[in-house]
Amino acid sequence: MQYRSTAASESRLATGTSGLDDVLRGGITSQRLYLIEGTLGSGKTTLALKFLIDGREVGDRGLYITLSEIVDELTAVAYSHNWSLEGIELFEMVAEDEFNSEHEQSLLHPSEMELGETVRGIIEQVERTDPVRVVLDSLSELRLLSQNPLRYRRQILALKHFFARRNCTVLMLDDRTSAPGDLQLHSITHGVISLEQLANDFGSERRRLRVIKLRGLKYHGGYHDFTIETGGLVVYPRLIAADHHREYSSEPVTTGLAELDALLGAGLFPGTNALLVGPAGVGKTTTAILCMIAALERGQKAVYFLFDERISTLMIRSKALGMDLERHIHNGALKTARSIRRNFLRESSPAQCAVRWKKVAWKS
Amino acid sequence: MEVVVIDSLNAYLHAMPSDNYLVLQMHELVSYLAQQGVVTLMTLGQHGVMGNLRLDVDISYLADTVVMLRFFEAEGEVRKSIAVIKTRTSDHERSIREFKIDRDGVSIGAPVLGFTGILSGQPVLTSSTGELFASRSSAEADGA
Repeated sequence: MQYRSTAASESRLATGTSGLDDVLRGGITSQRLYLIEGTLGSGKTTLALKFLIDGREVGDRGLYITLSEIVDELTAVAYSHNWSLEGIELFEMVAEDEFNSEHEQSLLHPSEMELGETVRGIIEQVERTDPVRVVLDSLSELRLLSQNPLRYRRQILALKHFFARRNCTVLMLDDRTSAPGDLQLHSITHGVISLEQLANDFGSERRRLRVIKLRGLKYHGGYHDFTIETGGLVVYPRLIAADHHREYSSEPVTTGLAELDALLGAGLFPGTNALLVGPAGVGKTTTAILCMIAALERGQKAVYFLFDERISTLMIRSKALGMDLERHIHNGALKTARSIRRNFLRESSPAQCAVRWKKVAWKS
Repeated sequence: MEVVVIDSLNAYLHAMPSDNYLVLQMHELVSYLAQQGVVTLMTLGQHGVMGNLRLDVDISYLADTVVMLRFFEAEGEVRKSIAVIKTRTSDHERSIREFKIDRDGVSIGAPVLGFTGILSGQPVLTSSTGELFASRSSAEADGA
């Protein structure tokens, strides 16, 4: 999907994640603070790393501050996507002196010192590297150190002002380990993207994301499915029919059989659909092929999505009925979606199928 | 592309987290194809062979045209019938026709008027006035 860039969208910053920028209609506003929230394993780190890598390509300095993961874990994530993190500052802020007895004897509660230290550490790193894009992973550490919502909010607000002064675009990751309904961050940030992982009764897990908020910008709301592939997240923007319109003739076309045309009144109309209902073996597929062959003979193009049997089986039995599909496949007028079999269906999300279908359809 | 065939919706249904999801997803997909001026053909299998046939999901309201295919028996043979029960674009024929698939492909006969019990989903031919195709046994006898 391509969107015309308007004056407002010119300052949009692409996130680098394929499909997500379509959902965001171009990207996020630069120099703002965003929250990427999601349960464990939903793809936050991958999305954030891609954002920095994409920045590196355009010459934006990137800084990744991790409060929970260690640098080795990050490089392992990058390695699994065939990414190099060269040129991106990775900073691991795990308190090394955790086991030091010094804190335990202190009159102050350790968290009171640590929170200040952690925030100071973040600020120091940003001042040292002077980045354009920053990732803060994850906020749950800060939240735990803050101990109460007020301190937490103040700290985040302070960081927000600090980053705003330095013109940084910041992604803060949150693994939503807090109590549900903790919406304090939502009100502070400029935008919130929520990632989810859902388990199925059968087949692989499904992932979906939703833009919860994006100040001042239009985006495609609602859930969009995504997968994590080698090379990052792939988002499948939900198909929105109203966005795609094409002029076409509304003259009815023949089904290839005069009697069937008579039954239908006047054949089939472009822009309409026909549902063939009936028990197994009654001839639904054959009837569909009949109509399709009529279109192919007219010189039109067709796409056949076959789920229940193999294409070779279909071709053999069509041939036995005097309907030759092979010729049309050879000259390219007929596309069969071979790759979309049951196996694929089971492992993919509905939206993923829809996008795949659209892709096949557009190519023909 | 001018024609898209989805064969069958039953398989597509199994990929959905819920029945409701299929209807929503199909709605969007079908509208998308409609916007593109595509003729979309979808097949939907029903449970059982005769009698009270059941659908996995009711999607008929999404369809512009519904073509119903049924088995019936006459002259000691299982035969097939075809009827259009809904079209949005034009006035369709109300009659049932016989439907045959063989070496010569698909043939559809003249309207058959002698059916009863159509709405029960179990059409029974009570009187034939010669609209049916010759039965296979008599056709073979003619050929021999």
